[in-house]
Amino acid sequence: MSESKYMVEVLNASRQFDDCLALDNVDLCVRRGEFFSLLGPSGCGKSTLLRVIAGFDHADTGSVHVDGRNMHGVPPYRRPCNMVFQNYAIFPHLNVYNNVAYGLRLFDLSKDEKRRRVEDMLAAVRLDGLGSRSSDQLSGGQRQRVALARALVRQPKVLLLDEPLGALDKTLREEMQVELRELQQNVGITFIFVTHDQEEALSMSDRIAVMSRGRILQVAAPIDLYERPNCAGVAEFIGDMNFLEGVTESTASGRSAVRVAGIGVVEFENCLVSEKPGLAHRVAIRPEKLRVTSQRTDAEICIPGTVVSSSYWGDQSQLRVSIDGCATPVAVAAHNVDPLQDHLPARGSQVWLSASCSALLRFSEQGS
Amino acid sequence: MMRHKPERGRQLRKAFSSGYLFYLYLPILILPIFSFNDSFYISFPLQGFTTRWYAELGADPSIISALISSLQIASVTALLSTILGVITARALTRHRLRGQKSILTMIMLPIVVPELILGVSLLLALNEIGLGLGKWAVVAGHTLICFPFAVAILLSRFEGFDMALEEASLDLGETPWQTFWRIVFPLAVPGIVASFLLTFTISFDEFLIAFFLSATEPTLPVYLWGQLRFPKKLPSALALGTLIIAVSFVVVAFAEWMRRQRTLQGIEPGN
Repeated sequence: MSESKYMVEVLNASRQFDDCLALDNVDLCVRRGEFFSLLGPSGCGKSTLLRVIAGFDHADTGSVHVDGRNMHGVPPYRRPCNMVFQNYAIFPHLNVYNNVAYGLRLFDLSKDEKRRRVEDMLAAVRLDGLGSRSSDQLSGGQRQRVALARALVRQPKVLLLDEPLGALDKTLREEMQVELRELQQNVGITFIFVTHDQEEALSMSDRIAVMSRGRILQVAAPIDLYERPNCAGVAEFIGDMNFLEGVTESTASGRSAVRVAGIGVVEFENCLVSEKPGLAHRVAIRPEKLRVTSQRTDAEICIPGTVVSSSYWGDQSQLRVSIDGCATPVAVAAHNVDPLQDHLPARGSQVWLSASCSALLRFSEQGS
Repeated sequence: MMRHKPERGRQLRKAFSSGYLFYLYLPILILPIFSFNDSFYISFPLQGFTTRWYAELGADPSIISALISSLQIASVTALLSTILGVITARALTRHRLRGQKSILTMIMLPIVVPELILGVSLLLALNEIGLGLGKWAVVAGHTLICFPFAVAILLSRFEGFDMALEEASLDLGETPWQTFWRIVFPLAVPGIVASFLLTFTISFDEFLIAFFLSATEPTLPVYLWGQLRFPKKLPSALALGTLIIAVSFVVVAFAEWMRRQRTLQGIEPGN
């Protein structure tokens, strides 16, 4: 038996629906025991990918391997995966206990073993004592736990979760995020988690695949994804981002000088693929990497601007500052740590924006 | 006066609904009343209480055999059309079929085709292919007219069915066949019971098709109609009618009781 490094491997998977390409040549490798998220806007193909792994849908081309086994032609009920459905799909005619025990019928377990296993699982999701509840007596969070217990009690190799927190209100969702992450670390099962909520993905995952229009744009750990997005699409989708026009002035020995609109010429210690003088591309900076001051600073980049709007959010303040040479005002997120900021710069006031060169990211126009 | 208007409205409503109820149930009340009347003639004043018409019923072997025929035909018809209805309703709701609307129209067509036409054409067709007449011929004809009702009832049941429930069952290791019995069937039971009871009643009451196709094995309605030619048999026909009403009432009450049991179970913790 060759132990593959990966629990789930999807290779060259494409899926064409009537009028849209839901999966466009997708490659995906999920490591053993990983909390892996598929992140993207609705309609990006993330749910289709999950259903292809679960066996409810098939890829027109390409292959799916789970735990080194080719899943071609294997029906959902013979796959070592279990799924938590978007609306939980709790069986309405069964109580909590029987919902959780549902998938154990074909397991070779004695009655006592079965009962113990179900009850242990109910305890693990903090539903102990609620086994006799009927499904319509459950709150949203409890339904979510039943769905989780029902899938996990079968000890699958992979747990697939299709936006399981989408139907919960904000507080409960945040609570469940922590709980779900803890549960995953306790059981050590590989989780593939589909979501369109970037904060959710960032806070829970070991690694994230960002999807758009049936393609995977980037697979990376949350920090890398946020700090070093590999294309404008990812940069735009994850967090907020200011985009500026840039034109290469010169390149020499792996360095390049770029004229950035509104900032001036900036030296970068890297080059884009086939970068030549005259290449137009996009330069980006996150709002929180910009600092607002009333006086000029000696930062690597320091440019004057005029405040267009400002709003106070408690932990931070959001400003929009227009600078010469930029068509759209740049967004600035100022963390309200300094007590001296007892009032926000008013609309129309002159300020200085400073940043370090390393905060600037560059993307070629062609996208990824 | 503005204040009198709602008052008058209420009176009108009361008059209308009581008139409607009388119109609906008074003729039916004639049956039990005269079935206990000690006279051959259906006319007031009543002559006195008797149960001899009921005794006569029990003593008449041809009534018993007609009753048995009717029960057999109605049971088989209800079973057949409900099974076919389940299959059809599932196919129509699960799969996006080409020409779904025209298929549904075709299925529902027998409801509007006059039974007289159906009866005659079935009579000709069955004779032509040499299957002959009798109970099975009536079952065939009744299934034809009951099937649309079964589909209509079951369609509404299956339309509200969450596909994810079936997927969840497949995901939890059950085959499609097991999924049907563990998920689809239990959830569809109220619809299946309703379909069975309705098609049973339709078949049990149906006269025209049974009249054409039953040949030497008359159903209860056909037998009843035959008895109307003999004035002396009329009171026992009324007794028979009374029994049918009583049985229908019990069946409907039972169905309602069943339905309530189910909902109560749903609300109180099971197990």
